[in-house]
Amino acid sequence: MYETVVGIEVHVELKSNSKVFSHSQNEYSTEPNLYVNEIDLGYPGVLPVLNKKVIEMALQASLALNCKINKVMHFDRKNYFYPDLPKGYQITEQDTPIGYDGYIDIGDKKIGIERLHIEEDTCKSIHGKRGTMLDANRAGVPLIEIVSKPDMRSPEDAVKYLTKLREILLYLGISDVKIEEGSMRCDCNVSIHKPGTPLGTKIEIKNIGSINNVGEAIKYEIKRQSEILDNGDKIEHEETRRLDDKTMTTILMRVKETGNDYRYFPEPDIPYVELSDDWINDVKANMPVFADELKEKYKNLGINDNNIKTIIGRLDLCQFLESVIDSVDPVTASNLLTGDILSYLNKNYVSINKIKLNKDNFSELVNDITGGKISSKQAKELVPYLIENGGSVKDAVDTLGLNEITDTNALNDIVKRVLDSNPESIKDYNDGKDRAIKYLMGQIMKETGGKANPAIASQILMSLIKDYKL
Amino acid sequence: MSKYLDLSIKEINELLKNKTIKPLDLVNEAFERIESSNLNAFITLNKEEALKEAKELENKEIDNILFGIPVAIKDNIVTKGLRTTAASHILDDFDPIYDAEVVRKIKDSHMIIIGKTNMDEFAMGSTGETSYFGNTLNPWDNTMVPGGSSSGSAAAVSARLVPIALGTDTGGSIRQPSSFCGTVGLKPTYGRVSRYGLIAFASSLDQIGPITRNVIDNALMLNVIAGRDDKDLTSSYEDVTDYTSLIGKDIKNLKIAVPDFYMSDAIDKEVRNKVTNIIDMLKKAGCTVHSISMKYVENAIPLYQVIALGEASSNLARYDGVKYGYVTSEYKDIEQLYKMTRYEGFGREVKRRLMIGSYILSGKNADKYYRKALIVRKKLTDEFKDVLSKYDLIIGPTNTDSAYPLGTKQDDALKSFYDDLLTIPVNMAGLPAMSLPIGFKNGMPVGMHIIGNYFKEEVIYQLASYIEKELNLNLDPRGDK
Amino acid sequence: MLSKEEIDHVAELARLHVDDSEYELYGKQLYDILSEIEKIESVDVEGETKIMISPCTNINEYSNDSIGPMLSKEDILKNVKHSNGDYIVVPTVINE
Repeated sequence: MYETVVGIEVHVELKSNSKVFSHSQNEYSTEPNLYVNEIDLGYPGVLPVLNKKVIEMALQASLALNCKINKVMHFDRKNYFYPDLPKGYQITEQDTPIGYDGYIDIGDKKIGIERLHIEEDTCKSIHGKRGTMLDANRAGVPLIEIVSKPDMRSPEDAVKYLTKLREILLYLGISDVKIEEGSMRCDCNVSIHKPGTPLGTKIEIKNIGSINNVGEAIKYEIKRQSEILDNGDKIEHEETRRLDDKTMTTILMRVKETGNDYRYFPEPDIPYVELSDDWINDVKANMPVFADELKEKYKNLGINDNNIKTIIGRLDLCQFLESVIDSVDPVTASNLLTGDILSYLNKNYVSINKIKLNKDNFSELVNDITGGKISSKQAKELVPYLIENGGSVKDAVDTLGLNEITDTNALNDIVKRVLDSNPESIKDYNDGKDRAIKYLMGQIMKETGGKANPAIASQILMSLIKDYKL
Repeated sequence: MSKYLDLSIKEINELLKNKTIKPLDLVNEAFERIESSNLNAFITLNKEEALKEAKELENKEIDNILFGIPVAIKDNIVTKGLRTTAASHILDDFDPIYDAEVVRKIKDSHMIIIGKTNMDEFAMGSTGETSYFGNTLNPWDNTMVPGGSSSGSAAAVSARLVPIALGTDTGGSIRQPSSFCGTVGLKPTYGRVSRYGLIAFASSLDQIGPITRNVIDNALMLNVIAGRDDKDLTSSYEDVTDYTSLIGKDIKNLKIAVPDFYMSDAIDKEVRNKVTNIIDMLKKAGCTVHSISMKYVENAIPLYQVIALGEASSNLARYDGVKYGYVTSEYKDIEQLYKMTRYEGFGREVKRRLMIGSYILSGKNADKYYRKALIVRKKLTDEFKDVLSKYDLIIGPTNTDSAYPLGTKQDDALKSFYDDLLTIPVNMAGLPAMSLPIGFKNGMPVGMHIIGNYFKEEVIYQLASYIEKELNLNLDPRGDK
Repeated sequence: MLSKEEIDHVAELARLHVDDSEYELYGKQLYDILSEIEKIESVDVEGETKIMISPCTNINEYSNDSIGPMLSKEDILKNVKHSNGDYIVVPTVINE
């Protein structure tokens, strides 16, 4: 039997307002070269600035991953020629990564973090027949690269590690961490060897499209590499491979050359960064509550497991629930959030912060439901209305006419009562005087405090009056 | 032909204020002089814009002493809409889309940009001969090099084509041509003037500074361009003082050091004699002048080769034919596009330096050479700091000799470095320093080096103005002098 | 003298084509400069270990997270020789 050794490098885009070394907007766009200035294009004479928010986000991530902090940092230049790299070098932190020597607890064990450093993203390349087309919107977008130690021993370890890493970054609110959209990118190194023998030759699998596929890629590699070794062959060269997600097999991209020569040297255009203990302590003190704690809390509040899973998986829902949880019934609130509200959000690709249902009217709604003022049937009508229009539940109920009496049995009794006490009007009606009906409707409204549904009430009145025996 | 451009800035300003002349007269005179000059001091002229600007200024209030003064700008400082080439084929059609911070400041002061001056390609050279646009001539003797890399700026000011030019100095590129052309050239403290918009050669050494005919004009120009710029993170928050404030003030308590390295046998004897005469003059004026020894200055050249060329190999990687500049027509893939564009686009000196720089940073060399050089640099800087804690100024010659004939040393790869033997240490430490004309050797100017403490440019001007006044040299290279 | 292989290696790093006629001159000139550079190895730094990256003494030069002016498409493409629509175009590179 072979032992599997896996190490993972993850690049994560941070969602600051502006780019890391320029004031261009940090935003995704399908329109090319929209968020670009002369710094991003590496124009002659330009110099970088340094976005403080990016340092803070990277510091949060480092602390959340239990890293030690390099309190004195400088940036370095990584020099290589590639069309997506406008300056011919990438500004990164080679010597002094902001975080190092941390770990993630994946339940049954800890996976070490070798380093976490800040760097800039490159242009997006679109490869076509007539050439490669460059879009600089992504050039200079802040990235953190998180390099694990080779501590994983199975596909399951890798999936757990990435799931946990993603959850932590999501809860820090520093990235969208969407693998499909490229805001989180995973490269993993896989090798196998017999226990007690030296480590095997590393195979790198680049740019895998989902966390589950990382597991699949590793599974396939274990199989592929085992077969080679079982045949008595050797894995001769370090290779870079990619996962073909149709066949779930890995395909050779290239054999790695002997050590890329990136000619790193300290970036002279950016002065030293010194992280004060005050700042570090402040970031530590303001760490958000992480998923594990919340899961436990929701369980104790009686929220069911499915709802917990759904809410934990969507940071916006979770934060929303957290903002109201002390003033409403958590179970009712979680049911509403994971039901019609989530359906709406998913259908319209929006986050809960972008709709008109807010903390106030949501709390009012939940309390009206638990207080028996609103039925769950009425709530179903109210939710889409509040999402689109906002305002108080009370006003919505009025506008939607939800407080009308529409119950025919109840209205029947009321109409009967009105007829019983108004024989004169029945007589008038029988004599062909139409205003009698108007008068009787007025009486019905008076009796119900104006809440009777006029159409239904009128229909009942007409049918009862015809057969009424004086 | 009018001769307003022979006057000092203060005199021109008086004439503008009392309406004897208009900015247009100055601009016309500058272009007349440039067009009748054979020095090849300019790469691109800004005639149309300059004339337009001069006319517009007629309706504006004269709000500062440099109002309406023509200025030339070295062609490695970007000017929006005005071609900027760094004297390289690889940028020979480059049309900048933004202004350098110094250009913005110049425009704010209503100075008039006359054109972009010739230089060594990407500021790599000490003769002006590496320019893609041909070499500049020395106004004192057209068979001699003007020095470099700010060759056009120094020649244009020396020949009185413009009263002021901006140069840049990475290892001596303001001071060395100033010394060869008989102009006053100052490299300010690193961080004193914003580098935003300066086409980088070696980022930790580059600095922009003024080249003028006299000391006070130089200080006036530094007043305009100095100051913090948030776009350059290495620019200083140190207060900007009036750099003319100590000009004419008594120098008798100044303490001055002369490192023996600067007066060694490697320096021409006649040049040393000139400096010795100045030392005697200063002693008589009541200055304390001591000979001192410094240990690390002698490592200047290898230090410079490692640091400047390492940084340059990275700074010049962006010229790849993709976003701007020259692109080869012969390529079948991206690698060939890179290699041929850079092969055809860069001149020989630049290519040699890029290879050296790449080599220095590659593999184990990064530690062996580059990291070691950064440690030596610290030692050298500490040594300077120590000297300047005891002395106000350090003086010596700017160069090992006066200007030499064009074409003599082009194939000697080391020559251009040895020209900067005495100027490089100052860039390593980031100190301010000036070259001041102190006389002639066989009719060619000789410059003296005055090195000051960090952000104490005004003390350099104080001493320089005293020497200038005492010597009262005729620094007009034209025949009618 | 530097060998052809050594020259090819540094030219590759710097992405520079070298013409056959240039090897001899490069070989001599690069050798001269590198011999000079080697002197740095033997400089006695008296136990100093700190590096000096630049004379700049600023620290913590942060900018805020605000959005500034960006370029028009016209400016972006102004100096570009090969473009397609709003894209900059280069010969096809087979990815990573």
